Amino acid sequence: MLKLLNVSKSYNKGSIKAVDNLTLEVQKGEIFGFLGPNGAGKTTTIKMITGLLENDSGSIAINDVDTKTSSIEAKKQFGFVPDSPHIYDRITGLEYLNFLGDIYGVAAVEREGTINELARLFELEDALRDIIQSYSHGMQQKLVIIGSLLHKPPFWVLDEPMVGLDPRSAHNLKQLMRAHCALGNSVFFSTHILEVAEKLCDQIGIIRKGQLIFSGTMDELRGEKQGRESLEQIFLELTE
Amino acid sequence: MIKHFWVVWKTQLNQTFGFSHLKYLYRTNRRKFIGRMAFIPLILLALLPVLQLIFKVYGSVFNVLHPLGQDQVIFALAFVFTQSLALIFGLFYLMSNFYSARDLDMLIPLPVRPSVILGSKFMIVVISEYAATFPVVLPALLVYGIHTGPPLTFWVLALLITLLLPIIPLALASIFVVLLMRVTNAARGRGVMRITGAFLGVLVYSAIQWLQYRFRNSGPVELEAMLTNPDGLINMLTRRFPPSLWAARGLYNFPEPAGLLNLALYIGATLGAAAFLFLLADRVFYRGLIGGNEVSAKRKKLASTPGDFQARSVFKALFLREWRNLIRSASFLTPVLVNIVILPAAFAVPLLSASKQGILSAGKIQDSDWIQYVIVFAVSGLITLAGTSNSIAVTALSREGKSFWISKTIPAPPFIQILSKFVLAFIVPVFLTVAALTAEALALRFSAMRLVEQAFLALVGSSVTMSFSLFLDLLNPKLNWTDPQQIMKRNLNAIISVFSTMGFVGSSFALIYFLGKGMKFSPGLAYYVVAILWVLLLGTAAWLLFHKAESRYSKIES
Repeated sequence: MLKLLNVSKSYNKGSIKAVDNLTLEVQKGEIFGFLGPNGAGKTTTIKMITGLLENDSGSIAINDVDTKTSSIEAKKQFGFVPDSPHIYDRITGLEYLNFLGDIYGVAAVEREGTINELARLFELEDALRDIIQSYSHGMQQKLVIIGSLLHKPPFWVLDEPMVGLDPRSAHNLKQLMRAHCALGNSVFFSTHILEVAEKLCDQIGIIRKGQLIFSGTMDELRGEKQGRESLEQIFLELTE
Repeated sequence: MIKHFWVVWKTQLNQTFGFSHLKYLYRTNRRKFIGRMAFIPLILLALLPVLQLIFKVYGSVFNVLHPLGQDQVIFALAFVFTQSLALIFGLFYLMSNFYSARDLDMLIPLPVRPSVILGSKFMIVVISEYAATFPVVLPALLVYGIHTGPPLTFWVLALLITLLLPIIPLALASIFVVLLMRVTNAARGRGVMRITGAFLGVLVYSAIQWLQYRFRNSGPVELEAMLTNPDGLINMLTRRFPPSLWAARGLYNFPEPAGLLNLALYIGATLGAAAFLFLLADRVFYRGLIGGNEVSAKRKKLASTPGDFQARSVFKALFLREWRNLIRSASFLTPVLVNIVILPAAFAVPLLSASKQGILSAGKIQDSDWIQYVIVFAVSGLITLAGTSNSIAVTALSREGKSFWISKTIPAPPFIQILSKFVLAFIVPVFLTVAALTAEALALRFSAMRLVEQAFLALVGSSVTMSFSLFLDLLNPKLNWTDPQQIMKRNLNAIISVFSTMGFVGSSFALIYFLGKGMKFSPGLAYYVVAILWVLLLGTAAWLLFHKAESRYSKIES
């Protein structure tokens, strides 16, 4: 579903390597957790996948569509939830969702069903007619999540999605991620919460200083350490 | 309190004009710093044709006034013009500056009096207003000075008076705004009420001016008295704003008693207006401000009503997004409203007055091709200027701010995204063109052909400058803002856009003048030369804009 091949990104004319020769793959039906300390290159990677940043070298393909050569087609393949939900705050939640529905060409009946279902799940039904300015951080986050799923994307990218969500919503989101993958889609998300990664992910990738230092299943990660240590200990050792 | 005022004002001054930012650039990125500084001579260069025109107009006016012994009217004219403009246009600027600025959330919790916050913001607006005051007033004073050779005291006094000029009109506008915000703060739908209130204020002021004019005796006897009395013209001109009369008389008659008295009146009124505003601020400012930016939420159940989930085309969806983003922010919408409401009104009043006096009659206009074409050129130039002065095109991408990530991740080609922004910006010139065509058809009885020529030139001219402005924003969008004011008022692209439009319109006028006077072209031929030139420029600007859209969108990092 996602193929990153030798992807690099640097800042300040190459003096700072944010992502260095990164290669990874996410299969269909998989939840991929992307871990790493602050400033490791998680958000930069996600921004390159979603077209917010241009990669200096390498290639990125989503659902076999190259993000550089067929950027529009590639963008139809994913839904994106950024780390901070900056969205148009002078429109209503419903107007925002309809805007996305129109852009992705979601039929009226289909969008009504999805919006109603997800708004109910995230307890946002009563707020959709209100201006987004009146939403709390968590409500905006939920709205962005609903918007990202409106066109039922095969690939779902989320950057620190649990931040700002109440426990019930965080639980709902995890269920939604599982349900999304059960339909043959894939999820790629970054997180700091190791417990979430441990319980939710089929595959995890750990990035440090722009380089992927591990990619595999939890069992494989544990196997490397012969099951002696907790995930937290392993993570701390790897990212030291 | 003075210390507080100084600290807050100094910081605001720095934030508004970016002194520290420039210093930082000088230290860390010398190339960028030089780039920024290079804009100053470029802006002056763009202003040159307009300044030349202003000097020419003042020169001609002085040549008429001098034989009548009414030389001082030249600067009275400049004073009354700048003060009236500051009063009307300042109203909207002050409203968004006092009540919509994001730094208020940071300033209000500080242990300073409301008058310190409002006062420092007021002084920033006064300083910004000098950009409009100096190009109008200084040429008038220079023309007068060159012709009459006044003593040094005249120049010192002239400088003092010029520096004080924006204070009275802006203080009066501020008092109106502060009271309006206080009255409307508790009301539901206060946003609409406030904008309506501000426009009503402008309309009432204009109505008073018009009534004064309407009921003034203007027969031949009065006209003769006005021309022969040394103060006749100055009295007539400054009737709409008496402080301008005090300033002009004070400057002209100094150091005679009449001059000193008028000067004392002018300075006293200036200080009085400012002091009253400061006193009022402590009592009223917070009552109109606190809670004024809170957004109410109804939290009503989402029950499907027809149209709730209506599907639209990608272009329509993008256009709707642009439209909603524009109309739901006072900072973005106000300049547009000023354009489409005040501009036509500002031209309708003198047009009506002139036609009433017989200076402009449809018959006279129909007899002269040149007059008709001069009107076509002038109206096209004004609409072109209006199209960019509202900053809608030049902030098209910047307005998205931190939500630009949405535009980058949606599968909508940049070409369509740019087109939707362009069409939105085009609404103002279209509206103004329709208004101008209506006036020209009804009041001036222009032929259908002339109306078509008018519409064509105005729309092509606006398209040229708006494409260029949008291209500027595409090259260097300002997305990292926290306060809409930052992109509407403190945006280098917006300054370049306005000055380049002035340069474009000014150079076109110079070309028309050259074609008519120098080359002896007929007005029709001059029109077609200019029209072809503008179409070629439009082709270039549009090609640049749409050709670059794709590659620039992928380069913009948000």
